[in-house]
Amino acid sequence: MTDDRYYDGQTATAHRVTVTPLGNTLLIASTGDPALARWPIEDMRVIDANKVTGALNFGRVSDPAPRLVLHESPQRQQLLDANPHLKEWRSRAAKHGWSVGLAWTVAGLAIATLFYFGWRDGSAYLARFVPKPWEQKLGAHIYKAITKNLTICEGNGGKAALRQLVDRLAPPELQKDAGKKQEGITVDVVDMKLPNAFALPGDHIMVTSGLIDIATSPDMVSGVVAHEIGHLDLRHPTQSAISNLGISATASIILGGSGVGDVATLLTILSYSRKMEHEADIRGLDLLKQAGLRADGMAAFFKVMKEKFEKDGHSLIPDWLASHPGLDERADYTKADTSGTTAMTDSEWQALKDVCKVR
Amino acid sequence: MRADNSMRLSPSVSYGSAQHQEIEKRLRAEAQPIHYQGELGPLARLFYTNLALSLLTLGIYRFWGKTHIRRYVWSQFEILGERLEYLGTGRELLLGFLKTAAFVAILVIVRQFGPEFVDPTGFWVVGIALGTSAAFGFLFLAAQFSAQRYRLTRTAWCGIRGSMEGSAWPYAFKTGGLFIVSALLIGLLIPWWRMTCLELRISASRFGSMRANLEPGRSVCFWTFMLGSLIVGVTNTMVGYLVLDVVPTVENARLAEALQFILPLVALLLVLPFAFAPYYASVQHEIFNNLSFFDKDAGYLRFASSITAGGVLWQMFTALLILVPTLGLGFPLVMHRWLKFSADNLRVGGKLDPAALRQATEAMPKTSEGLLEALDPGIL
Repeated sequence: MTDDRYYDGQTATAHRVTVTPLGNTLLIASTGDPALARWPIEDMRVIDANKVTGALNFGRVSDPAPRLVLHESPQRQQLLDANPHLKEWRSRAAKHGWSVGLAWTVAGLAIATLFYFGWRDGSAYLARFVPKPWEQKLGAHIYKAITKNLTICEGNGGKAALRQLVDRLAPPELQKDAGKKQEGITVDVVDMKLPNAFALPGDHIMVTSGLIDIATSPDMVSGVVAHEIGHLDLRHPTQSAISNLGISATASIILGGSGVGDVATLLTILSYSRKMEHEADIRGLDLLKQAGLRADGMAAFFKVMKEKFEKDGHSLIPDWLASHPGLDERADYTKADTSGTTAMTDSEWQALKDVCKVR
Repeated sequence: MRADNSMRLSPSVSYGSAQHQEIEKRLRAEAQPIHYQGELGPLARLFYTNLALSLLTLGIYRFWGKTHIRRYVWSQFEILGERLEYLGTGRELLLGFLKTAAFVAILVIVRQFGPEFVDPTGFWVVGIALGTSAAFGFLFLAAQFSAQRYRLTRTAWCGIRGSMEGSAWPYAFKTGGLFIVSALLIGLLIPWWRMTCLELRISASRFGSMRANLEPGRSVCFWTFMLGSLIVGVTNTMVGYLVLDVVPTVENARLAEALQFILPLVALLLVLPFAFAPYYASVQHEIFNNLSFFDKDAGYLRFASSITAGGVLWQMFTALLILVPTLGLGFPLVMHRWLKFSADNLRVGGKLDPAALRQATEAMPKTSEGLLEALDPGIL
């Protein structure tokens, strides 16, 4: 008897066997049983080879338990020669391995690509589900970080004029409404030379005194404020927080975890993409028109900024204005006629101009 | 279900009797070595291919890679003249991982955002943090049980599979409760707790129709654990003293800075692994010298471990010598040496009638246990 063995998968008995290929069937015989088992050859597969003895380990596709261990012999060679699916088991296994490897490599790269390119759009989608109270918490941290070394201007007339402008421009979902538990937009002027404006998460807008100084008409301020409300309406601050910082860091800031004191980290939230700036411009124009206000101030403001840029250089222009989209391009696509009423009366405009002079 | 003591060797011999000791002695002498016939070349090839493909596929291929290595390693173990076979697939590992990842994601979301929904004040924040930590610990313990079940049901010998009786949840409740008790006693009972976990898991294991039985002693493991803790305690104190009091007096500022970094690192690498080598060896002894498989028809199998603390120490020392200069790339060599070392120190004997050892009847889980697979940094 050879050292070939058969395990029926029912008990651990190692039957010493001989095998004979009979057409489509392999006859497995032991000394006590000349027809111990019959395996359909089509149903057979090679599982592996013993590196020490060279024996091949066979199994069945239809039943995972039984095993047949065959050492080198003329019968085994006959079986292999007549059945390519058994003879080429190594190359088949390698082919299978490579195809699985390749499939998952493609899957891995596809996922990475999807994340890399789809993250911003994905964050826009996620931002819609972030509750307002969480946005307010996130905004409160940024507000604290920005205003730490700055003064908030308190001129009552100017504040009221700006407040009134915001109320006129804000769409219904951003209006204060106690019934719907809506807080509405809050707005501040900070004493800062650099002309700038920010939309913070939690529906807060900040305008610098530098921006009011450089504006030659209230319609320019209304253009900028409409642009910032556009950011809020499109939930850009939260979207930007998620896409720039990631979900867990945003959550950790909301919950007061690490990164809260890091101003640089917090300010990355306020750097919007070119696409977001464009969207906010277009939404801002819509809001101006819906409120019946003159919409030509936005383009006029971009022109003023461009002149300032040419005169003073890049350092005095905030990123969101200096980089993308180009100021020329923005002035071009925000071009509007002079229809509509002006944003403020002369006295309101004067009060806003003086908002930081009253302490 | 626990087999009674008399079942440990054969139905007619009671545990601890003179007859039992005689059989035990003969068994030790007659026990056959377990052979590991694997070679470094194929193992290294599998390891580096898996590493490259895992990097390319952002880790997804890892599950298939792990399966290939397990299949190779299992097939190179020869027990009583018959090889082991690994039956698992990469797909099962991936599905198990995804299933657990979903569970863990839910826990993380509840932990991060839960307080916002109820009341973001101290009580709820602490309550939810504690609750989710407990749930995670509980899940981890249940995972220990189901991971062992997965590996056993995917291990075959002579066409017969392993399996496990019972459910992971009672195991997690019991060991979780005992952990809290031992943690309250400033961790003194940790070695006792770990052995209890092993005993519960192994006693629930079966191989075909044979039931495993483990009744380990605990005192040696307790003292070796205490020895390890003492060595670590003394080392920490010494390193603390050197870094805080001695190093600042070094005049060369650069040297002082380097020492502040190097001293704790050297202590961590050299002392910590070695401190617990005797503990590791004693646990292996207690498990394998008290482990038996028994079936009233098929007979029994017993194991004997000859592992020594010195042997474990040497393995760890050489592993460090291989891993540190190669930045971990020498891992296949460490693994190969460790597998040979483990097999060389294990013997198996007993009286087994293969014709009476029947196939396992317990159902096989469809997926692997993902939590341990996810946390387990080892390639096996």
